[in-house]
Amino acid sequence: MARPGEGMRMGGGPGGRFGGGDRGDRGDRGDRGDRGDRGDRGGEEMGGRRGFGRRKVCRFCADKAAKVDYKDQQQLKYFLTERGKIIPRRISGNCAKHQRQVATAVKRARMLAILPYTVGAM
Amino acid sequence: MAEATKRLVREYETIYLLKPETPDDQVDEIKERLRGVVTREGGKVIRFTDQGKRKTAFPVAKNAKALYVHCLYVGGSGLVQELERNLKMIDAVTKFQSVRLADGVDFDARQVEADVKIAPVEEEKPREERSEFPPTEEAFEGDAPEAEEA
Repeated sequence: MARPGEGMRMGGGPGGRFGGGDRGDRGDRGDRGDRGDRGDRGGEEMGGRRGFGRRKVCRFCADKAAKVDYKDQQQLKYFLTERGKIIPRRISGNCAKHQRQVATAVKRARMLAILPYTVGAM
Repeated sequence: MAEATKRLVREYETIYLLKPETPDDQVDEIKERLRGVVTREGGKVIRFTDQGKRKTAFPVAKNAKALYVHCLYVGGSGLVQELERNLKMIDAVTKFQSVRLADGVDFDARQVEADVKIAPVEEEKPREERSEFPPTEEAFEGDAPEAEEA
């Protein structure tokens, strides 16, 4: 797992947003990386990444046996932040299809009090 | 024609939460009542799974715990509505949710299974042990909520 790398990428995120010019094309390249990923999953996309860590691969695509299950608290917790929000796709690395499934599953689990709507709200 | 005799139904699952102080015999009584409802509506209960007493993510009916029961069944239209109407009438039931799992299931091919009782899910582990992207999450948590709400 390229955890530190991923962290660094995010760390550079806000800076890039305000830094204007040379980082402006970063998102664009990220998109291209996405598209390439769909073609051959698991393939390393180092080109457009500016040396920051590895492109995350959707864990449900990587493991065909894994199914999104709204009853599985442990599995879904992975996709929640400390405050109970759903972790965005750009961070969790899920593909669009599976991120949708995860989002639906989290919402179902919330209705059954398996997952919290919010943690530590005022 | 083989197709003509096949009875196609849908497969559903319903999870309902009971008050934690519900005695075991009442839990069974509710199960049998629901089984009766499903059968009456032309459906078939495949199995009930008693998931035991679990801690809920937030208080449900002023209780921090609830008994989770999962019911898997097949049936036609109107069945879920009738089942949920019945669930609403049972006082011990605090929450329920039905989900359609599959369409066009062959009614006779789906075998009835025995009821299962599984051990309650163990208490959650501390965040540190399972967090797989710690720096990222901190950053995300850090800017997001406070900035938005301010």
